Amino acid sequence: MKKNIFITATELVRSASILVLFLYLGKVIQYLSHLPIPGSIFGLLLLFSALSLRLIPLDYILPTGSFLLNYITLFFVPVGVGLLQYSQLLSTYWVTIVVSSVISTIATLISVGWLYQRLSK
Amino acid sequence: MIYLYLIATVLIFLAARKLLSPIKSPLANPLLVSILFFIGLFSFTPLIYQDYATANIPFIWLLEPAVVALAIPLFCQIQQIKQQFKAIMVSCSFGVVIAISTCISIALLLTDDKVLLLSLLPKSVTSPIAMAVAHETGGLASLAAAVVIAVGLLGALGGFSLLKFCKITNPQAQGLAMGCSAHAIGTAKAMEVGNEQGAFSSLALVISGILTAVLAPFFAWFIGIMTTI
Repeated sequence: MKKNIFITATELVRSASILVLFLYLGKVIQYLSHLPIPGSIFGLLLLFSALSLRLIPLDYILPTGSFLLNYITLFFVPVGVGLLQYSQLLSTYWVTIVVSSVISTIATLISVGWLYQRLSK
Repeated sequence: MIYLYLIATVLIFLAARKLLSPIKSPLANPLLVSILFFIGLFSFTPLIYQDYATANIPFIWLLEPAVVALAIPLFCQIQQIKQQFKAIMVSCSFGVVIAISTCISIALLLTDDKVLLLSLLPKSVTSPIAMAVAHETGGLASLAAAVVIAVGLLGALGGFSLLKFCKITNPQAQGLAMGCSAHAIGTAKAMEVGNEQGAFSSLALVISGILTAVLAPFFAWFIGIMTTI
């Protein structure tokens, strides 16, 4: 029983460290490349490459990784509440923003889904 | 004691998820309800939003490693991705062009405010990319961030209902559509619907984000011409 707890703790620390390592590798790439692409996206691509090349086994990142993915929606709550900061801007331009974003989002959803469904058959 | 707001975020979200789970309406979305709860709280009571923002910074930090962790569903679907690589790239590229061009052309009918148009341009991609793109092209990063969040919520709320209504039932197609139109918030929703949807949404999030950053200067140039005529 004691050993199990120890193993679980080690696995959690290991998986968290790997994710943080890849995040910071991504941030270094962003810093060096000056591209308008966030470090986390580079980190995602690097981790995906490392998994595909079998440099890191999936089990090594699953404990923290699946926890983060389970609660990713929760992390967006403060992001959404942050809309409060922009209430002035949004209320000034709301007609243009709402009309163009709603129509464009609907058009994008349907066209991507429809095109892929046709192409992938 | 502002850190009570951190606990409040968790409790409200978990309560909303539990209470709303039997309701099938897309509006019964725990993310939306939690956000509206706090927006209402800070709009109608003397409580201060800034305290909430400070207390919840840890969640903003966790978003970054969570995005890195999206490599997991992507890796689990690697066979399907390899098989469909061409269709994925074509659909996402098409999606990016549709997302930007429809938004800008409709907005051009309603306004000739260049800063507003440039801030709307990256509305379908994840907020760090959108803010950087808006900043570089001459838009307003904060306005871009606000629009991006609103668009993400819209996609997460209505996306799957709309796709089903349009008979788009292929889980991979649903995922790509969500990732292209509603970035990370849409991807979070797609992860709840299914692994395949989640993986393809992550993929579309990455591809469309990068493509938007690459194509933005061209569309910004177009906006420049249209607003000077």
